[in-house]
Amino acid sequence: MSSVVKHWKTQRYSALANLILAIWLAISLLCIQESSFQETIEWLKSPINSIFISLFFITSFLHMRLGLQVVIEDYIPNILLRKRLIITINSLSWLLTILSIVSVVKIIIFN
Amino acid sequence: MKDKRTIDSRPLSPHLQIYKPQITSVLSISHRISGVFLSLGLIAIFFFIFLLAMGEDSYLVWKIFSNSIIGEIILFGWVFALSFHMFNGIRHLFWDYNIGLSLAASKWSGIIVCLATLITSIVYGIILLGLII
Repeated sequence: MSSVVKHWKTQRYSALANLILAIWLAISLLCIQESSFQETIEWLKSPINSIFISLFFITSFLHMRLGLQVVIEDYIPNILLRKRLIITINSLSWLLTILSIVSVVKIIIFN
Repeated sequence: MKDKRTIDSRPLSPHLQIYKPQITSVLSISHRISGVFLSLGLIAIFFFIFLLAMGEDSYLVWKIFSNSIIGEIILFGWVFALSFHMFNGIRHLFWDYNIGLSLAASKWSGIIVCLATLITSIVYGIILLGLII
């Protein structure tokens, strides 16, 4: 499979995953809007919530990275700038994905 | 990058100003704009979990921000962009399976996307407002 086809397919599969995960998150954010620190920790420590939020970060940052890449390819004519921007966004999105998972794990272990 | 040459030689999108705005083209560019906006929202959600992991004092910073009027407006804006991107995204997924690609069908599905976004945002906004008051 060429990398372009892979990009296209990954964008669609991550979209399907986000469909479920983002609805769950939007409802959850409403539910914990008024919660205290301890209540929010308890919310996140429940297995379903910690798994869903981790999956949400993985698929969303993936979807974001692929989507922004297409936008940059379409609107930035300067090849060098374009490549640098794509590399920056790719690195940043991987970094944030890892940091978010580490954060979730830290909350489960230490709180 | 294997296909470096293909990426370099791909054509750029034509400038938007050339076209007369139509529901199909407006929704198309809105999909991109909402996508870019949602990227910022995703980073905000990242900070929510990150600050939560940093401890109670750091979390207070998030709490002050998210409970402020600006925070509530951003949350509402995020839900608005999210529901639009989601409904229009479903429309795109149907197109990928060759469903609803005719001009008439894409206009109708565009109107449905707008209505669904409006209804979802209003319902979410009312619930959010009910929580604040």
